[in-house]
Amino acid sequence: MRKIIFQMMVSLDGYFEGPNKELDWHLVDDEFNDYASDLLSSVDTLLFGRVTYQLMASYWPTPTAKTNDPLIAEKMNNLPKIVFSKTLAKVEWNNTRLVKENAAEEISKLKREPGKDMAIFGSSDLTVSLMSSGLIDEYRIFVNPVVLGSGKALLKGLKDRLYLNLIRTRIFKSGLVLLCYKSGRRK
Amino acid sequence: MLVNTLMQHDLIDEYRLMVHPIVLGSGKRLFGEGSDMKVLRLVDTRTFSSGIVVLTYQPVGKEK
Repeated sequence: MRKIIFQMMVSLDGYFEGPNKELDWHLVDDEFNDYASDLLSSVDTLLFGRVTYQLMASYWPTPTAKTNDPLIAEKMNNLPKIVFSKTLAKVEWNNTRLVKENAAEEISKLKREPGKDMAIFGSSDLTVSLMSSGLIDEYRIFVNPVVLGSGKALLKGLKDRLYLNLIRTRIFKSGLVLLCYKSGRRK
Repeated sequence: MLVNTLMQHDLIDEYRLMVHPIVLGSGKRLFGEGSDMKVLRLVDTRTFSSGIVVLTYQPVGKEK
């Protein structure tokens, strides 16, 4: 069955964005972009919640993105994307499909279809709802060497504890630490 | 919290955080809410067979 990989940048104190939605602390460099390019080659579908979708849709199709990160921009723009939102009326980013209801059901169906793995970037609320349904197979958490002090907490609102298995770590020269976990550890 | 006061005055020389392989969903925040933003330098990592990852940081600009 196809895996769902969740990936998120997080501060050392566990926030995925600052109090005013700041994301300027993300340590993105060539080494990270090489990693991201490999990941994007290993998946054939990207899944988003509305907020992350709108943020990415306002960046990746722009000339700035195509100049600064041509490889990543090409993949982000061309890969099939699904955004889950009850409130969005339409989607304009290339190759995007809008799903308004039953995210968990739709994703269970996609997982049973043949294909490569799928990735979710950010999209905290969507991810928490999918976690509750046991639909996330792998967690890739990028710990940035910064204490934000306040902001929005990673994966807040999960009702039951979720025990994970550490499967891999990777240290980037920038000080970024990638922690990879698989679901399914017994207490 | 004591650690917040010490951080504000740049009195912490090394931070060693142990990340446990569990999502709690709610609880008390590390360092408390409302401290200042601080950039750190990763100096060491260590992985235990239990799945705990120890991340060691020092303040930027502070020599050993």
